[in-house]
Amino acid sequence: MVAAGASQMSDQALAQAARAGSSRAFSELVSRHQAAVRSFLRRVCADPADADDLAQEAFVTAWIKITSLRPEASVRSWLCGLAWRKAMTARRGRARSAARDRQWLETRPEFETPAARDQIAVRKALATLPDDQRAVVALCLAADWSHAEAAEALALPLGTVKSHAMRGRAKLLEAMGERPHDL
Amino acid sequence: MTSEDRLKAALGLGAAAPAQVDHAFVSRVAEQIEARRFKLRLAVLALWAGVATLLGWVLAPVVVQIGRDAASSLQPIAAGLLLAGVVWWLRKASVGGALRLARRVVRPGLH
Repeated sequence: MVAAGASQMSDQALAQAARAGSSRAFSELVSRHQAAVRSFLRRVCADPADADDLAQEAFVTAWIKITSLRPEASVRSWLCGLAWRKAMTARRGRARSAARDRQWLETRPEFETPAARDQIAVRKALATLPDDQRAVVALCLAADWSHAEAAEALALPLGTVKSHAMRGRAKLLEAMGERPHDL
Repeated sequence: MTSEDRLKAALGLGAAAPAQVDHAFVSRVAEQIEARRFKLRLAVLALWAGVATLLGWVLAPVVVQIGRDAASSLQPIAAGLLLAGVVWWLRKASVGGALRLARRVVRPGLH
């Protein structure tokens, strides 16, 4: 059944099949959610190569812990939650190299356009945000997740997610030279 | 362009955005999972081999002793079985058959 129509199955059905040991079902889940997990990590980690390595580790952990996924839970939120915890574990060692990358980016002549300047300013501001706030910004502002989904993925209270999103947006706008209270 | 649009654009990954379909990434994950499974299997096998070696080492003197004890007590049984086998074979054999066998042994080319 899994082999025949894995692409038509719901996330929950695939997760159930993966729990029963189906590698094919799990591969379909990886295929469906890799872009979301990698985009999230690329916003959080700054270095795309590090982000992809962490995403791979997160998916391997997901395979090991697939039995802990509740049947009614969102697979995407669960995967991003695992990825977030991986990123937090790896964060300390990588902070220095991320700062070096940002400095290098600023000196590149092709980044002299207004849009590129905004992007660099936002990246710099993102790096200064507290970890939880950065993750909320990456999910809610950049990837258009609902506050509830982000709260589930990051294991944070809904109210905290809302305030993180609001404060994060204000800080990023400020970094771009906008006045947050204009919103 | 509103400030919200500017923020949205600045938060975009642009060229750094991962592809929606990336078979290479999926196969790398599958490879890692297989490698992990293999290591796990290897670890389980190594554990069993260790347990078996330990058991063998602990039980070796006992097994050897049991073998020795059994050998002495099994000797009469083995002799009895041998005798029974010989008797059974002799009962099947006939005088004519014995002569034919003897002739075959003495002159192998003559049938």
